[in-house]
Amino acid sequence: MRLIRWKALLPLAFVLTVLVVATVLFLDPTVRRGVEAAGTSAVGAKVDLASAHVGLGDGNVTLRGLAVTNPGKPMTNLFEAQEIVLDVALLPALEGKVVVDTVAARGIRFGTARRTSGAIPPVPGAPADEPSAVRKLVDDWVAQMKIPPISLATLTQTVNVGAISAESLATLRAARAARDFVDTARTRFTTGLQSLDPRPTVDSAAALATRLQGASLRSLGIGGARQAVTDVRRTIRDLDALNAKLASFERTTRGDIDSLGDRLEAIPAARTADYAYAKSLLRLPTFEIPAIGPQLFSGLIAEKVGEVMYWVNMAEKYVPPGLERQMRKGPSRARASGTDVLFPRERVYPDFLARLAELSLAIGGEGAEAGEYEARLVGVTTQPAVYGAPTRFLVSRTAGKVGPRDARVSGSIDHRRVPVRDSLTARFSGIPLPTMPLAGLGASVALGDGSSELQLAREGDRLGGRWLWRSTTVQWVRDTVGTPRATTPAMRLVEDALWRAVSRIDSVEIEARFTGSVTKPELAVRTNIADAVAGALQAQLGEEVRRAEQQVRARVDELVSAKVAEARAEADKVKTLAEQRLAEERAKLEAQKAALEARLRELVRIPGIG
Amino acid sequence: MLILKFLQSLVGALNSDGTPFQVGVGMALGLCLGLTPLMSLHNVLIVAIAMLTTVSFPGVMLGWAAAVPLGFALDPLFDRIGMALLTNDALAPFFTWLVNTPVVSLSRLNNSIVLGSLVAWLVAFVPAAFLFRYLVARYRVHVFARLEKLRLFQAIKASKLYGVYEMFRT
Repeated sequence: MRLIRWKALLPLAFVLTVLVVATVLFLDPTVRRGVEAAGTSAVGAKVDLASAHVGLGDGNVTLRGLAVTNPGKPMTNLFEAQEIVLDVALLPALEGKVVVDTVAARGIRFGTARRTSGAIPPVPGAPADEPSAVRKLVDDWVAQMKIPPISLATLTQTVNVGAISAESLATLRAARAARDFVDTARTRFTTGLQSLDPRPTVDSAAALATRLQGASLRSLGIGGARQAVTDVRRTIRDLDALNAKLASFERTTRGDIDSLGDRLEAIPAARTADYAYAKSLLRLPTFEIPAIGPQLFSGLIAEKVGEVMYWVNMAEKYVPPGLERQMRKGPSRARASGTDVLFPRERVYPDFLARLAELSLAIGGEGAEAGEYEARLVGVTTQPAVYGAPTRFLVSRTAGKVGPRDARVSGSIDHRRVPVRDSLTARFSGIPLPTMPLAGLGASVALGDGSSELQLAREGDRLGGRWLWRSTTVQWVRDTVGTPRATTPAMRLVEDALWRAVSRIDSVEIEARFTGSVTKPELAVRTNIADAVAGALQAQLGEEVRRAEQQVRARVDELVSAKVAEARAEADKVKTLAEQRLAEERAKLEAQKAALEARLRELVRIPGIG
Repeated sequence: MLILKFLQSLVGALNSDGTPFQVGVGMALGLCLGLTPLMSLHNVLIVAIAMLTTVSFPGVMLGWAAAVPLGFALDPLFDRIGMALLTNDALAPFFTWLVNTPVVSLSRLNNSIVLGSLVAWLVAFVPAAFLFRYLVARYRVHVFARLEKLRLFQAIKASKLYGVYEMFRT
């Protein structure tokens, strides 16, 4: 039976030709859909592409009408590009990799409006109002960094010390712990002394000493004298052994007493913490300037930094470090997508690499962003460990009639190895700054034109950054002209005083510093507005707040004093008991030892005995 | 109809010999087209083998048709098999070579579904070929012989529809 069907060669060639022709014919729409799908997946919002053309002869890929939705604002594009031409290397394409030697783009515009929403449709079955990925991340950040605003309502309220619950106070817990340890120490001492049982040894020594009182060679005889010396020496050894045990027991007991002392010493610290806790319950205002900045601006700043962190997280997700096996979702198809497992290694092509992108951005219109920019990106890749160099970028403004006098954004993404290192520096001067509400004070400050400087550095989980806004042309807006927020005369007085204090400021500087970890950030805000607010609060409410603080302290003291005193008294008792009993036992032991040593000296003077 | 005629002529040209073994191997090859994601490089090879060797091409089609729903149903299993292999440290050097080698990397064998289904098919290929050969032989002796005697079948046999059936018989 023949195995090969030679006459099928022609149909096979025909089928393969059809496949190749179909691939070429459908390559452009396939690339277009691929860019849209990959972009949408990466950005977390819709990416649209009007057309794509692949020039198989020269390896050029031309993308036209690219629109990338801002994931935080689905009706706005992050940017649009009229045309992007990529010079794609052909050899890596045979490995299914995209290596772009150069990228040239024109007609890039930022923040353009969309006709339709660019939000990704919700997954069937998911709650209708589920927030977007960027919203979730920003909300997480805000929740972690936001500090409750200054509440004018509580400033003028009567202090309700009854709200302080005894059970929530750390001092009581510390006092109870000390009290419990007193019992433990007492039981341990009593049991230890019982098991040591010094009495039989001491009594035996006393009996021997008494028996040998006035003994002589005549009364004992030579044999009796020798036996007496042996008994005395043995008993002295027993007393020494007992003495060693007693010393060891004493050390243990001293340890317990020291431990008890530590517990008692922890009580004042717990009480200080309780004062702060009780004060926070009553939401008494602080006059400390470093604490006021975060109260005023933490929400707004956390929101803005959260948006930056969304992109930092995106970089981490799509640019994983190292040469470890990497996993990502497989391609969308009728069948299940499965998981694509990547096996990066050095000195090969990365899955995606754009060696150099030099972009000239012309932003039209009369807005502040209008002008000409140039951007240079080097080594943009999804596998930095394979590529072996960090991604660097620089965007700067080259010309513009209006808008910022200077704009420069630079940074690097170094994910070659763990820990990853990202850095971003953005400097803008002469740009319109945002209007910032002063949380809780019923006023806003329109910062007008000023400068903004952002520095962000991340190493592994550690985060460090600074965001500085400066303006010398601020305008103050009181939000409560129509509907006053103050509900009491006292509150209105405070609010008016605060308004007078801040509205005199014509030059504002707000500096936010964030530290800590990516998952647990900490925020500090320094601003000259806080100085003014602190001064006004101090003047208006200083005396009242001091009085309220005294009430809070008194209430805490009242709730904990009895228990603390009891713990201290019991601790003193057990300490005295232990010291007294130990001294008694030691005195008895030493007295008997001294008596026996005296007898021994007498006995060894007898000739033939020593 | 045009497609049917094209298929008839194609099958007519390709199937001059149709032993149960040829049909069985053809069906076993066709399983690959249905069990693994169709748009895969290895399936081009399977089609080429099916066309260039004297296995039953209608058998390939039948195997493919039968395996398509099976492929969808077994995707979770293929995913697990694929992941087990792809995350096996001993095989990492092989896969590293595979995904970084021109053309070979286009096989997408680093995808859990593609790899899992292909391995499952490779394991099942020989037993499936023998099973299908046995079933075809039994069909020809017992079922087809009886079917031929039925008037309805004779009527159908005379119709154009039978032309289509013929494609899958040999």
